[in-house]
Amino acid sequence: MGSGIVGIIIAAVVGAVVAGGASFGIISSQTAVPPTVDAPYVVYGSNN
Amino acid sequence: MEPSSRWRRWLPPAWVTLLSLAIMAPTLWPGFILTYDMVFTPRQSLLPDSLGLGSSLPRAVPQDAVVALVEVVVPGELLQKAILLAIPLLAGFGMLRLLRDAPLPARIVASTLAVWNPYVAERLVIGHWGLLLAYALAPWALAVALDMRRGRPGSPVSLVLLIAAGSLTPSGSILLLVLALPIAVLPGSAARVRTKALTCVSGLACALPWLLPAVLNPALTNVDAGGARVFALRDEGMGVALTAMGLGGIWNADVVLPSRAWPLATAVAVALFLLGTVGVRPLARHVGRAAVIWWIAVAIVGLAAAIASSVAPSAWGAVLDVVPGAGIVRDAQKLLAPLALLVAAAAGMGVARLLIRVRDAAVRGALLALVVIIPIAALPDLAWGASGRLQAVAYPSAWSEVRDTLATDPRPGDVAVLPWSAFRQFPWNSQRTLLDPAPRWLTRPTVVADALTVSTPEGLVTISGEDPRARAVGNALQQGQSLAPVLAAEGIGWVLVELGQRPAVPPAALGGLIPVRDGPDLALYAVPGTVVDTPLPAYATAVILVDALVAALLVVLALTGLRRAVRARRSKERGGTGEPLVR
Repeated sequence: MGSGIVGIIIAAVVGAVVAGGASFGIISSQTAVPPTVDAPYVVYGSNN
Repeated sequence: MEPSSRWRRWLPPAWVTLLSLAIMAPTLWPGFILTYDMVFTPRQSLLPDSLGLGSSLPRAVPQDAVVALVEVVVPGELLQKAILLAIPLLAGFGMLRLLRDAPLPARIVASTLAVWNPYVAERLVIGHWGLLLAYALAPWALAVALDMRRGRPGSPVSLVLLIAAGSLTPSGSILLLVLALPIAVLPGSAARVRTKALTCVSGLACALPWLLPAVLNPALTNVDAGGARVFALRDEGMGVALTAMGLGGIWNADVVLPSRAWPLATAVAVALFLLGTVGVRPLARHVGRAAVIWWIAVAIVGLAAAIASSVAPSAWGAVLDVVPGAGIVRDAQKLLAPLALLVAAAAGMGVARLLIRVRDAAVRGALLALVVIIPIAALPDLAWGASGRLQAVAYPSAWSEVRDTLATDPRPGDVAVLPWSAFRQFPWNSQRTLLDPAPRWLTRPTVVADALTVSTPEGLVTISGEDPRARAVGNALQQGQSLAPVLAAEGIGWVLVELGQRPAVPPAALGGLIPVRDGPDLALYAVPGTVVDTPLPAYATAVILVDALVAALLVVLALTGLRRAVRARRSKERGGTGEPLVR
């Protein structure tokens, strides 16, 4: 197999994964819900 | 140039750029990215607090001062975007520079892992951009330290400038000083003794802008030792050791990306460690034995400390209590930065070592692609601004209106900010938790709540702050009385109320204050009878003098480096030899 074809295959696979990651990120960003707040004031975070 | 040679030359930088954009593209939209500790505003003012001369501990010193100075010429929005995009670019290109003579697979894998890992993801979401900038500069500092070790002219100046650039925060400063500086001067270095001494002194001087006010500030003695337990490394479900080895484990569960709970995350952590083990020997051949031994030692100490913070919190807390200034690293997962870079470089070299045994170019290419893809696939939610957590938003116009009022009103005094909580959740920022932006918006020093409330398995824990003025205001609020007399006595002439934020401000607290603005978004009150008698601390002269000296030193070094670079370029144009930064 020529190195050109290998390059195209690799680029396609890697590109697909990065695109998949980006899509995952975009979808998550639209559906993400901020963490629930369990105090009358803003907590810095949770180490539960 | 042969097509394959051109392809090999452009693939690594193109790949790093693609990865960086895959993470940071949403941050380039108009607006500010406001998440946890990351607060940028259009134009930050240079205030005593920016230099560590306020009543609170200098945690963002000299970061705030540098941002304020840069924003004289660059708008804050643009500066933030440039910094955020620079972090993955610098980390990736730095790894390419460090491994510039290594095989292509090593460079591709190492740069991928330096950019795309849980450490970067978690620190990005919590907004520790100063630390991440130092992390991203660390491969460059290592490369330049190795140059200095080999006696390359100009490298000591570059090393000091890199340490300075990474020293915006105490933890970033310590990272570069501990990781890179010793490599330049360890036995075996070709640099002259005088050069070594000057480099060490100049490198350490870069830490003085934060170290001096931290040591001289009486608030240092008020640090709450309880923070060690709360900010310890947190098990992300794969056990403490694997969590740390996998470069995750930040104390705050709310900033951890969901993919960290996938079994693939554990598998990748183990696999990369094994690949790293395979790659240590070729890495040692590439960067030198002494350098690798030092790098491994620093990484192991960081790993051990991070694990200890979780499995032996009492002992870790005792260490932080006893060692002066050790409170800086109470957020122990920070200490995994040298390990993150080591795993990236060594795993890259390990992959190259294994792939060299595969004869078929197609199989070799496919395996390389697989090794590059898997760590990305194990952390896909880092893409697109960590799944939308880094989203650009616009501040309501009320903020600039209040800034203008306080900048022009002749009535004296600092500003107390209510509600009495260090963090905010604004509807216009999708309710993301955010450090109160008021101190970075206003033209006057602010007094804000500096106690941190954290949700723990034992319930809510409050880590008390260090600022004595904040303590006085907090006590007055607790007693339910009017704040006016306390504020006036503390030199506070104004009260800013961020409307709609928790906890509700008791009406009695605002009794006796003069309303100046009543919404929307922000209300502003003047405090009658404030006598401004808050002189700079006695050590202010020393701090300002040292800051000026360090700044002068860096300007001289930058000009020296620039002159050398220009001369080298001219010599190259005349037919001499020159070395590109990234090959």
